[in-house]
Amino acid sequence: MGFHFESKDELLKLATDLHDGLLDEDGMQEIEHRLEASSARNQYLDYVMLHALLEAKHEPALQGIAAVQLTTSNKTEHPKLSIEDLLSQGKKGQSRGWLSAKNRSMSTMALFSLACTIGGLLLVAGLWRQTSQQGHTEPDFVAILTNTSRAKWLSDAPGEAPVRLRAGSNLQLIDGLAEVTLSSGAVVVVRGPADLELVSPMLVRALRGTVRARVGQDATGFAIETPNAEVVDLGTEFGVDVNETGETNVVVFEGEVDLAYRAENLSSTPTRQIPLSSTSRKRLREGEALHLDVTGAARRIVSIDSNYFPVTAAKWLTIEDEPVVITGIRDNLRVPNHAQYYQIVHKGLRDDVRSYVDRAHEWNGVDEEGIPKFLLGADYVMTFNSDKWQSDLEIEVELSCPASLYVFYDDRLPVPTWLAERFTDTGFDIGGDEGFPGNIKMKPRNATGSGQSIDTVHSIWQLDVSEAGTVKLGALAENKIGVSMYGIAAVAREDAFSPPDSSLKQRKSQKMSGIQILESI
Amino acid sequence: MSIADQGGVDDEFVRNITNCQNRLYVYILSLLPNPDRAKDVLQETNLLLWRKAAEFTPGTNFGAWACKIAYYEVLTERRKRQRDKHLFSEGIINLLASDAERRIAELDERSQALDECLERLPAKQRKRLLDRYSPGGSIQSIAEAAGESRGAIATALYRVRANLLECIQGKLARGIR
Repeated sequence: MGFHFESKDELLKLATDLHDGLLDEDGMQEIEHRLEASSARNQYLDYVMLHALLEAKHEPALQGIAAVQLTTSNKTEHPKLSIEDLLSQGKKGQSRGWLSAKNRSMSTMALFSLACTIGGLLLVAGLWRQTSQQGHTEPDFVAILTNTSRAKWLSDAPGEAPVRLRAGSNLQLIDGLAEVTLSSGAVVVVRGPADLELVSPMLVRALRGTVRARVGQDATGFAIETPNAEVVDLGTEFGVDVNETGETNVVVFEGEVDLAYRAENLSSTPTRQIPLSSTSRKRLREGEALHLDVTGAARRIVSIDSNYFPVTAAKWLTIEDEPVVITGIRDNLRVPNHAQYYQIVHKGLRDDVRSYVDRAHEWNGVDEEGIPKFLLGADYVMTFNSDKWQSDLEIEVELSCPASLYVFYDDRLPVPTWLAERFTDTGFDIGGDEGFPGNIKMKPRNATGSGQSIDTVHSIWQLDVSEAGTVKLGALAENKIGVSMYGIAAVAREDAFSPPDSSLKQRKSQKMSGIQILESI
Repeated sequence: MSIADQGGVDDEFVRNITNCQNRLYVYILSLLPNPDRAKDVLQETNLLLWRKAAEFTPGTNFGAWACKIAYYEVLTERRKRQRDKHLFSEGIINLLASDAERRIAELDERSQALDECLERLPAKQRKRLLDRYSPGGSIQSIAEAAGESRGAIATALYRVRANLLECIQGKLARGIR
């Protein structure tokens, strides 16, 4: 070639040829021989780093190294970056040309926060690869099956999680849980029996089953279609449940959704939308839930059980295995268009848990001791804070066994008769953290831990109930701005789960209620 | 609260996996000098890291743990392709592995230095890099398009890379930060 390299340069030439795919067998032997020297190995490794960095800077995709732009500053602001963007960047011929663009937006931190948003699995980088070794384009993958628990599939399982899923994939679960992360960033946890189709990164069709969707800001507009409804996310966490007759239950845990009735046409394209209750679309807010029957008639869902819409498939939240103390809750609100629900959380009471379905308030210990020990792990009810405006409110709590029933009552209010006559003040308190900065000194929003950022003090009142049955609670004594609705909790009495020795102690069904729908308005 | 917070893999693990992707790829590529093979092994390694998440002891060296898993994946791949003459022998892989694990710690610094070096690169040399490293680019395709020999293109690219390496070494030596 007429080109003479010094030893150092010779090694570099060998290394570049190797990584350009130009090295022949002799060259291979030569480089191996040289790499026996430690200094040569370091030089070679320096070159590989350069080579890989050049590759990354020219091909910004979630392909191996290219996943992360190597900006070292942690202060880079987080750009809005949808996972779909990342997916498309991986497609052949869509190089961004980082060299010229100097795109610094994708910092490590940004990717990290993104990863957290969707539960982390995206960063199993190779999973999103769109081009194969041969360079041809593979069909679009729209999701990753990120986790399963006790999953029994109708036919072939999609594979062992994590595994990629294509558009049009069906998830047919006889039983168990499956968690799917869509490339839009939406995460859905499905509980069987279920029959789902992953139509696109932004649309899931549910023919049957219980689905909980957590949708990040980037996937706003994500929709779940059921035989009779369309639920469009507005940046939120919500549940959709389709029963065997094609009726749909929709529950909003956070944020808002739009709900529309879809009449199932006999033709195969059921897209006609009929206005729901004569308004176009019903907007459901945090703490609201509706049942929609096949004719499009909507009814309030009075209560839901926290286990009914599992938050994750990473661990199995047993429904049958755990003795349930609070099996149901209902009230006497018969207000048209009222859509607020109670959430029963089994064995859920501890510091920093959410106290209301419609507010981001939390229960906390009033001091460093934390929530009183006898309440830790109790079943509790997330009430809705707007309950407090109902002066004739009646709430019925259904207990499956002899239990101690607790009411957390705001100390700023007079004690109502129904509470004073039947309950006893335990002398213990529980704190409410409203998540606002206090008036006197600034406190962090929803500080973690006992005694931190307590805004309200609630006295813990107790009623011992000797047999399974229903207990009636009343309204707050006064309606005042700024006071909080009471909380409800129950702990089984020690002897409750021993074999029944008398008919008095016999337990009613311990099955969780799942979803309770108001019979009529 | 994210799904991960509620019983899935914890944030720390996600952060570890995120932060080690680049170094892990370089580590694998240095042992397995074929980008497609290396990306496949990275993918396999990621799946393994994920599955073995529970085995990782928080607070210990995640990078070392990941490299170890990657190393065995590389060996597995190497054994599957015994007749491939363009891969290193196991002996060399073994020698390189321990050096690579140390050396890749500099990757972020080198990336930053490279950014600065690229800015000062003459347009013609930039174009050569762009042609080579854009998706689908190879010495072969450039040679065909330019009507030149592969050797000539390879030599020209070699010079660009040698320049960049020198520039990076200079910046690291002076301490760019």
